[in-house]
Amino acid sequence: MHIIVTVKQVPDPEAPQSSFTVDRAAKKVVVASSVPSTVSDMDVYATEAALLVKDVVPDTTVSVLSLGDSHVMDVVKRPLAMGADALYLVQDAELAGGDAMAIAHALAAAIRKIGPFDLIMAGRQSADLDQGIVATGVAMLLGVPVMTNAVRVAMNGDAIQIDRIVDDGIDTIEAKLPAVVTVSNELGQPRYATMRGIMAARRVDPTVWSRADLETLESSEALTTPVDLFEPEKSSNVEIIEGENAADAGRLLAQRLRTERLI
Amino acid sequence: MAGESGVLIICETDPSGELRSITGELLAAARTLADSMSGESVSAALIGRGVAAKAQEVIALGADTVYVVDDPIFEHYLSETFVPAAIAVREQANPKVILIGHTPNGRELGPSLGFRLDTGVSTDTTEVNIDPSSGGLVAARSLAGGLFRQVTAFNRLPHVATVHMKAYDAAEPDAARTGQVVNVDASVDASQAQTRFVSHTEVAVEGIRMEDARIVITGGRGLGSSEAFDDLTKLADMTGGAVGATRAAADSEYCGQDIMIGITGRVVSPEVYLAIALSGASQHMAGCSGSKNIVAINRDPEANIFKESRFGVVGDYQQVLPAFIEELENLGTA
Ligand SMILES: Cc1cc2nc3c(=O)[nH]c(=O)nc-3n(C[C@H](O)[C@H](O)[C@H](O)COP(=O)(O)OP(=O)(O)OC[C@H]3O[C@@H](n4cnc5c(N)ncnc54)[C@H](O)[C@@H]3O)c2cc1C
Repeated sequence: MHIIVTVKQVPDPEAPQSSFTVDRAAKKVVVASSVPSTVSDMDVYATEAALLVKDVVPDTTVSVLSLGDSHVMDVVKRPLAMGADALYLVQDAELAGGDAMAIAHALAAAIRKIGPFDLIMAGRQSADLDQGIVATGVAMLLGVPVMTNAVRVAMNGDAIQIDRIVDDGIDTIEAKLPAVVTVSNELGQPRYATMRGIMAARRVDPTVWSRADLETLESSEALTTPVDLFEPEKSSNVEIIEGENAADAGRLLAQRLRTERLI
Repeated sequence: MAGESGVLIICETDPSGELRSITGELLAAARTLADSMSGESVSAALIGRGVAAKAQEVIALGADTVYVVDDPIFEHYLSETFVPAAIAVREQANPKVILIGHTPNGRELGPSLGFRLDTGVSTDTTEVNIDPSSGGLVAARSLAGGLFRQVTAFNRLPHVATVHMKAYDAAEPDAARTGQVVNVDASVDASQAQTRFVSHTEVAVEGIRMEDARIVITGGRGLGSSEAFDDLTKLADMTGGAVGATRAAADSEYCGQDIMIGITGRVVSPEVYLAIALSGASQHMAGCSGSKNIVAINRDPEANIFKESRFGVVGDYQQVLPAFIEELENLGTA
């Protein structure tokens, strides 16, 4: 079985908020150089989901595919250190700067070039843009079914079965292979990289492509146009309730909320 | 298709066939858009099993035309069946703009539909407007988990957006409103299906649903244990509220995952949001920033949550909370 995990490298979202600013004229987020890169966290869960399948299906290869323009090898090799086998990098500033629809086209073209697959797994949304569009697009472009926001994945015979959180509970659904599954953090703690995994990852030579290598790239035309990007104004006028000590402040808060008829 | 006009929304119903609240919110958003498109019309796709009876309710909430796709195969959401159904409706309604709820199913339907129609999509959109010069949709959404706002225009018709839950207030239903009901036969061949619905497991809600609660009491990682969540439940019982959690608290297994609030969790906008030992990360705030009054208890005076709050106490919740609860008991019921 061949599973492809799509992985995005992002600036660490846990970095202090002050390290992210906007260049309004360029409509771009500016990230301070002190912010380290990391694997978008939902993609780590996607890797875990792929490895859970690999754990039970003999002869499974997990390939990692990442599109970007400044890959840091230690970052994009993290899924390999967790247990994935191969690494494909599409390095192209123009493609990486495209909108979600254009990126889906580029990834779909790269996947066609990688070859036959049974499953594609991706994080439900990226940590920097939170759009949740690309993986669904890849499925549509490749003409295979998509199931999103999985919180459990398991093989059921020839089908991949998932649980997903819906409004009043959990839906269990399944798809014939090949299929695309996006994964959410409720899946459970991803495994850590092992020493052996880290050593094995070091020895993996990534296959590196640029736009010119993706002959099958049908379209990377932008379907959206950025109009504005700005930091919303926050009017902070919190009233801090103080007391003689913390417990006293708690009592005064209760009284205050009662006076305001809030509680 | 040329001659596009108006706005199409995709309704959502619950398993008992009732309209979900997002339907009214989408209709409210669509009405404002249609009005600023010099009075173009609002249509709605009502897709499901046994949903035809709800068409009049959709009209009462603001639709001019309801396209009903009523068939047993639509009992449960699957993109494989709902996308063709939505496309069948789109072909008849021929809208400029399609609005879908950013709900568990809408998150999948929106992008799927966008790609099928080869058009751009904006997800988790908090505000939709018509650009007076182009007549097209401009969609505002949060970026970087909520640090920034991004406004996007679309290059091709129709323009597809999924709309943040609770971003719009539904109109009061007007039973006197009239509209047209059109049945659409979306012949979806189930025998060719690649996906299959297996089962639905209901997650029991103790007490009130958090989306309907007047008070939501949310605990963060700083609570440090599941026992502390029991205290929140006690406070919720006292005040008729519901308990929520941050992702860090849920990932630490202090509580169930189903009560997580935020960009990838549930969205609430209660009268009072009591935020206890949580930092107020933007991804969390995306699920609660519509709350009328945020009240924070946190030991770190610099915590972001205070910037978003109306009232706050700086201190260890282990001291603040018992005294707060005791005082509420002394004060008796409101
Ligand atoms: C793609 C993505 C999606 C995400 N989606 C969500 C989401 O939907 N929902 C969500 O919640 N998060 C989400 N997150 C995670 C989010 O970024 C934060 O990590 C998370 O919200 C932090 O939770 P917290 O505030 O409980 O924990 P922390 O940030 O660790 O804050 C704990 C707070 O508790 C305070 N504290 C500690 N001890 C005490 C005490 N004894 N008394 C009083 N105060 C105390 C501390 O001062 C601190 O402010 C997402 C992240 C990513 C990257």
